[in-house]
Amino acid sequence: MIKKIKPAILILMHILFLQGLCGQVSMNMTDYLSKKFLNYTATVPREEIYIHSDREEYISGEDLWFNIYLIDRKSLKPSSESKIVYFELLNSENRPIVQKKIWLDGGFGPGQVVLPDTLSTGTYTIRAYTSWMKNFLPVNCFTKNVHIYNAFSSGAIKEKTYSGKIFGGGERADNYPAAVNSGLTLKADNLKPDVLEINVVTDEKYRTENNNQFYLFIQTHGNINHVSSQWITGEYTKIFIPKKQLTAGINQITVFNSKGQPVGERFIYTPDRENPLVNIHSADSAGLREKISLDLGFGNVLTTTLNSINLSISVAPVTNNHFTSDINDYMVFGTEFGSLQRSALKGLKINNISPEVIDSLLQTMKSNWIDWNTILAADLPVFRYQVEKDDHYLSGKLLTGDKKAADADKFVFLSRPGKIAVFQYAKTDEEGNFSFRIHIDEKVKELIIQPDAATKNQSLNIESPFSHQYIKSEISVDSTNKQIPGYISAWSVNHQVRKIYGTSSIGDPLASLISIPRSKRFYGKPDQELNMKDYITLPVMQEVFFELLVGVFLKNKKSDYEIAIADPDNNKLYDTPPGLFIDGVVIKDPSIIAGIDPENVEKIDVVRERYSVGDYLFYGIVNIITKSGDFSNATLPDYAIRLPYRVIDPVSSFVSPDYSSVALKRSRIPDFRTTLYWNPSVKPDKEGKARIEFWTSDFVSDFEVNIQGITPDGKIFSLKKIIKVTR
Amino acid sequence: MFHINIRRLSICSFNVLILLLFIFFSGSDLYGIKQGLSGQLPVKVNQQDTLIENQNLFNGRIWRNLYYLSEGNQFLFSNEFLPGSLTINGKRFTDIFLKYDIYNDEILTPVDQGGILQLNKEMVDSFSLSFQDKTYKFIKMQDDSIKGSKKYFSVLYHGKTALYLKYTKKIDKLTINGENEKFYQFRRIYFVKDNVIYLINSKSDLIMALIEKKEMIKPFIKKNRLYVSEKEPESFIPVIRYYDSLSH
Repeated sequence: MIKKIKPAILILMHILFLQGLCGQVSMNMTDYLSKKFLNYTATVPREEIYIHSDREEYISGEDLWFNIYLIDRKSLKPSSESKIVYFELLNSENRPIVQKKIWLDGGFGPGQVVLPDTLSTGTYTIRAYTSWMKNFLPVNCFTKNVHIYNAFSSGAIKEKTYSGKIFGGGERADNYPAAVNSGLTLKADNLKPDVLEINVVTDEKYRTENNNQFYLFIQTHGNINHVSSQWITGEYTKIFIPKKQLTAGINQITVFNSKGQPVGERFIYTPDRENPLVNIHSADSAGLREKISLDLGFGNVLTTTLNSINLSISVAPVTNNHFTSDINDYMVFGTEFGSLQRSALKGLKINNISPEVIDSLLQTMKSNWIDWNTILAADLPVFRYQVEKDDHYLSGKLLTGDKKAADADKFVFLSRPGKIAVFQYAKTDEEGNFSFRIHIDEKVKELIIQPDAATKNQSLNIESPFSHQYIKSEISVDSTNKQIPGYISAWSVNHQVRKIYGTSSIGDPLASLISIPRSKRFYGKPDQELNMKDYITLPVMQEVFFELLVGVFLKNKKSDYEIAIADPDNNKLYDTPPGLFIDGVVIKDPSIIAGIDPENVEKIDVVRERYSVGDYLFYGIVNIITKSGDFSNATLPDYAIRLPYRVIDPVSSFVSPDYSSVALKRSRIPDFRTTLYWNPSVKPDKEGKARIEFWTSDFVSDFEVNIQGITPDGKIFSLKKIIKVTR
Repeated sequence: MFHINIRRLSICSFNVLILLLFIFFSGSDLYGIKQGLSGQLPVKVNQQDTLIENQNLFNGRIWRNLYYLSEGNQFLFSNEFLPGSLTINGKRFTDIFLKYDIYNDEILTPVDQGGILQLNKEMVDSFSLSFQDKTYKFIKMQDDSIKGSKKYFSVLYHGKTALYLKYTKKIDKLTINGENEKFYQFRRIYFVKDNVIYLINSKSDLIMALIEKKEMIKPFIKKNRLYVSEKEPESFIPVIRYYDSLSH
């Protein structure tokens, strides 16, 4: 019977398989593309930085005030992931002039640098990135050119232009390999008001090879707007997508063939249809040393998020520079498509550019984040730099005597001299690289780094956390005749007067919000804690060990010394020497301990049992804690590095005079602030209102109030207003 | 005839089946799809991060059992490792196997190499153990008797006030020369109010600790017919929760 029905079962199975095959593919492909895309954007998030600086033109020696916004590209919300931003000011040859490590609190980080007064007149670049963004350098970093003028050097300003991965300069976007001769052409008509028209033209070959099918995928900065399977009915296929389905920003339209390979890509721009978020009320003009009140109101923002809005505000003289950047315009492109040449926008805001011009601009683009070749690859790329969320990464390389990279799995130790022993190790990778995690705070830490098994001429190279990967730039020849603006001489006088009178806007350092965890002994409670003050002073350490320490022996061995610990289990000496420390710093040579004057020793901690830290095993531990506790009683071996290290730089507050009293208003000390006011963290109250008050100076000019900000739910806003200051 | 046809068909379809099976299983590649669509993309594993995490978690003395000759054992609930979690220096580690030695008030965890570590108590903030479908949470806090020494307490309730249980084992020497030893377990109940620790040996001790609301608590127990006894420390929780609701 079974034999009889077997063929019928087989036929049924065939039918089921065929059904499964035909039914699954189209449905699975859209699911597959979505799943791959979502996994990719979750695993390879994109961070963007925007920096609002008080001005974009400075005099050498002035202060540059700025606020950093770290934004998650997908949600456009402030990012709480990375906690450190590497800020640099580069000269025209891309050499760093100033480098700062700025701490971010919930995606915001104020900062300030003093521009060296030796800087010559020229175009300088502000650049900023996080550790994670270093994986995607040189493109994935914020860059902004500023002009710096030196009162004592004449000459014209030379513009700095970039080459390489840019757009707006006429470079064509790369095609996907399968797109070449695929027989499919994709066009997008974005000029209709409510609907996006997508035209797909296919030839006979494509239709035959792809079973009259293609897949359409539309995404905007990491958010899926549309995924569908499309059947081809003829040479021309039209698809209409309602524009309300599209997220505001640059929409990436990708078409895949029936095998799931990308064969066509176009970019369109969907403007933000929401009304302006913030409004500002103030007097349009003011006299000298007069109070100005700015009243800010917030419109379509949830009341629950009102007092979480973060905005920065600068009040600085109006300049000839029409290319000042806004956070909302900047975030349309971010760095996803390379470095935007500002000239491509001709100084206009994106919403004021005609759709035809934007369309032609987008023709040359390619996302360097959403690249389907990478998304669909079997394995994701391995990223060297991690997100610095809880700790800072200090990396280096262990080199052999002939300056070659050390082998993999070599231990490297990090110690911090102190009365509390802190121990951390790293292991080298195949290229000799290692990295340690260091708590993020402003404290200057003494770090001692050394290899475990030191051999002759071994050396350590500590890597700078600042990247050396720069976008190739050159000085534009055409702009050599660009003259220095007239107002610069007045600014220069302002700066000289302030220098003479010693007035400055730099106030007290901002209070640090970072808590420093209490250090704990890495070996816990020792078996013996020998307090030297409890005993009579012995002349040498050998006697201290012999008389006062239980189960620990310091012996002469020919001309050297050795320290051994007895296993408390059987009272036999361990075959391996114990871990030796002075003030928490690993010591390999026992004679260093033997040579210490017991007068300088405060305490000796002993752990007699075997102690494990990760997969590093100590056969007992002896830690000599000196009275100074700073490892000053011993000499470091040549192969070790002692490094004073500060993870983040402190930031000062901006201060400006208050002329509310008549005496101060009549003060004879001149007030020639060029930047009238700077506040990197204005927060509205629960009702969505904020009042900002400041005083004008003795400088007559038109001032621009420049407000940049972001709400916790990712609404980005920019606002400007001119206030005339007259006599 | 029919029979033969079917046979021919079955032979033919067997070949087709093989072909279809080939297409089915290799189809994903043909369509550019790899197997394991539902799986996650490869997780980025940073070797250095793992090293650091391991240094935080696996930090302690190599454990030796000093009581293998004794009757019973020094552990809470079981002589076997129990699933649990740990918080070390503010960092939480889950899916860890732990044993709680309540004789020495230390926790142990197995390590890859087959050994057992007695975790550095200075670093441990809290831990939990799962035993018989129940999770027990322990925190490290100051003991009421010995200054400077912190011990692990089981958290029964934590609100404005708190109720803790301290599990302990002691050794009962069965012979005069101490050769045969036997572990015995006991527990103490602690109630913490306004940073004052009260040892609770009975229901009346608890009522005394809550003396200022006594007039309301007694009717509450009566009205709700609550069983409140030191034999079941959990039975104190509704009373303490009610007390907390009274104090603003």
